[in-house]
Amino acid sequence: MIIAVAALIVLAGLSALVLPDAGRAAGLAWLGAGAAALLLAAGMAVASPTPVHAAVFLLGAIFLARRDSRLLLAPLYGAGLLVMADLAIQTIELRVVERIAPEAIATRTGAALALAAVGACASVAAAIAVNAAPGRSVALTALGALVAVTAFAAIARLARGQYGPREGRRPPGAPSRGDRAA
Amino acid sequence: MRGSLASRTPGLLALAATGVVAGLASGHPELVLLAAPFLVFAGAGLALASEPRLSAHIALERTRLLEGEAVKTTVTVSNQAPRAVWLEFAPARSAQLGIEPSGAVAVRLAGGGEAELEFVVRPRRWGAHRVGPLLVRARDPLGVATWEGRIGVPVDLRAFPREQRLRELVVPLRTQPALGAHVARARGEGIEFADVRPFRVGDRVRRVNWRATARRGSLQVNDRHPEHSSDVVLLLDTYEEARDQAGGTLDSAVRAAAGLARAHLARRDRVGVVDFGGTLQWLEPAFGTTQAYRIVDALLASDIAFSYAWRDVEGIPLRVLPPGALILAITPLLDDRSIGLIIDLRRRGCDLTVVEVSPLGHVSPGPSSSDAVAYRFWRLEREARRAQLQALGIGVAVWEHDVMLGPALEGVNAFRRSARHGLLA
Amino acid sequence: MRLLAEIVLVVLAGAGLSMCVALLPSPLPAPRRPQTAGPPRPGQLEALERLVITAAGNPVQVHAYLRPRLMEIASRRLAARGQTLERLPDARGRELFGDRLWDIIRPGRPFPEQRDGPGVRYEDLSAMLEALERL
Repeated sequence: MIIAVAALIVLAGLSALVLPDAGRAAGLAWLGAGAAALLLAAGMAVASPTPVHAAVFLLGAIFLARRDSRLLLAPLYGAGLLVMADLAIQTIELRVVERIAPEAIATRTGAALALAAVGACASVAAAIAVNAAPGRSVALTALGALVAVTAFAAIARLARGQYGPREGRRPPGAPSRGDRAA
Repeated sequence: MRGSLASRTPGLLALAATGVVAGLASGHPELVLLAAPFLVFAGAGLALASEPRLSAHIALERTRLLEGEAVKTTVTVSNQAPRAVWLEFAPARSAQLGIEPSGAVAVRLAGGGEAELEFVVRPRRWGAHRVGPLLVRARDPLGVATWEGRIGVPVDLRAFPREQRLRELVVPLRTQPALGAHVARARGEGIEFADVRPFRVGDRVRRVNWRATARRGSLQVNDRHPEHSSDVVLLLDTYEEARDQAGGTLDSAVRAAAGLARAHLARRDRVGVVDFGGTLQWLEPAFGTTQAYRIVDALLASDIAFSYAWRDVEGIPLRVLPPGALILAITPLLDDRSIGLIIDLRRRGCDLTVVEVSPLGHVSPGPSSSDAVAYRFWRLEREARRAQLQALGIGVAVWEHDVMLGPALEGVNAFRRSARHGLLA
Repeated sequence: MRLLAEIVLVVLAGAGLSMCVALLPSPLPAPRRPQTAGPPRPGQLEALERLVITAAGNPVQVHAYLRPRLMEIASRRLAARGQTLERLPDARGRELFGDRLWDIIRPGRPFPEQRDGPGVRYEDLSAMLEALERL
């Protein structure tokens, strides 16, 4: 219950970063924030991660409603989205648990906060690079696409290597594909 | 243990991918920056995750208890890997075992650390149970991967049936010439007065009845009934039972059998058991405390085993049904095969009584009106079947759910006294 | 041209990222509580429930299956009064059991000639059982 409330508090904090400075899109931003809060609460209530991810998507979208300092706040906002998602997913995962050792949640959340901070630093580095870039160009888009696809491919390969389906083992004496009947 | 991605991980990566594509398409690099922490989180989590090495030890405070009693169970889980792991675990569930708390327990185990937790296990029913293994779900520090499996060696737990305390038992018609607690029909040394008769050479002087001697003018002695033991065979019907969420007729039948066995053994009777149903098992009649433990062990193994086989008396070895034994058939009278066996035994001249474990408390009428009619029909058929057995001289003690067995046995003794001549034929 | 190139790059990037996400191994399914079936009902009762339904529209079922059971119950209840079904006069039988039940259980009842005639509805069977219970 405490973790669920913490997730909603983080959502409120993220909304507070956007809504006061939303400008002409304020109405949409408020709508989006309200829908995200409902989705987050619903996801935790029915123990489904899909509404939680939808809430993250919505909050990410309304970030564009902020008129200025977006590049500056993006790393913090992104880390905040990650922490909010982690807290909500933890709530879902711990629903079946009747007894929780006190340090279990604190250390998990601490690890997530630490990684969110590292992620925010990576974001800051990317923000600096974007700031230093001459402007939008085909070459820059191609580089960004290449970096993104490479990063995702590396993660997918790592995941498949560790947790992918195992290759079927042949029983001893069974003919291999290249063998032919005598 | 079986490892996989946690359910959150594909979702987080999909969000990151959406942010990146949206950022590239719209020219808003802020969206890519929002996605970066998600990517770093997932990548670092996968790189840091390693399969845990877990072991568990389950210890019970005691391994023998009565059904319904609680026993403290201590579970010790160890992490042999160098990295910390987050665990959720719970003992494997069973319909016959109540475990408190029933939900999982979440702990963090440091690398090389261990955690000890207590559960309370309560067997809901008699029988041989197994506590364990532990069902475990382990997660890496960031929760991007999970491993699931079972750890720990199950521990055996034997729950004995709560016996019915019986003061009144079915009185056997025939006794054996061994010291016991039943007043025999024969005459001899004993406590129960039988008759006065003329003195014979060999009679003891202290048995002389002086008043009768003075009245009759010749020496008269008191004759008494000796106390003999008898052979008792408990015939347990395991063809079919009626069962609901609270329990079944077999549960009650085994409790009755355990109580009857203990009461008869206390009266120095020889007691044997025949488990007659889908499987046929038996324990020859014997005396004493050791036999009591053997009987309870045999009863713990009783279970309903579905079978199409039609068994008859010939399948039971003669030494298990000694001549003159009192046979107590403990049955819900749900299967024609067990009813057929009972009638067959009676026609062979056996001294037989039926303890009918009523199924009515475990079976309700079906939902429709025609089902309600069928239920009434069934009850009338059961009464007719009971009357059929009584017409053959078989006493039927109807034992209803949630009622003591003793009064039902008293009623059977009255029936047996009135039908005595037919029973001895 | 530049716009077209950027669109192509974005589409390719999107396709590539989608493929990477799709290639991720599936998580383990969430554990489900095993659905335990309700306890089985006694076979004797289930057989009677079926018989009550089939006898409603089938006189052969009534004669072959329902009648013997009703006769057994009636015989046992008469035996407690020192009477037998075979020796019961017709008038006495109708008085004790009612016309409908007596027509079924009377000794010597012939096998029904019409196989598709009416059977015994459960409402009538209920009244017959009530007559037996009163005995």
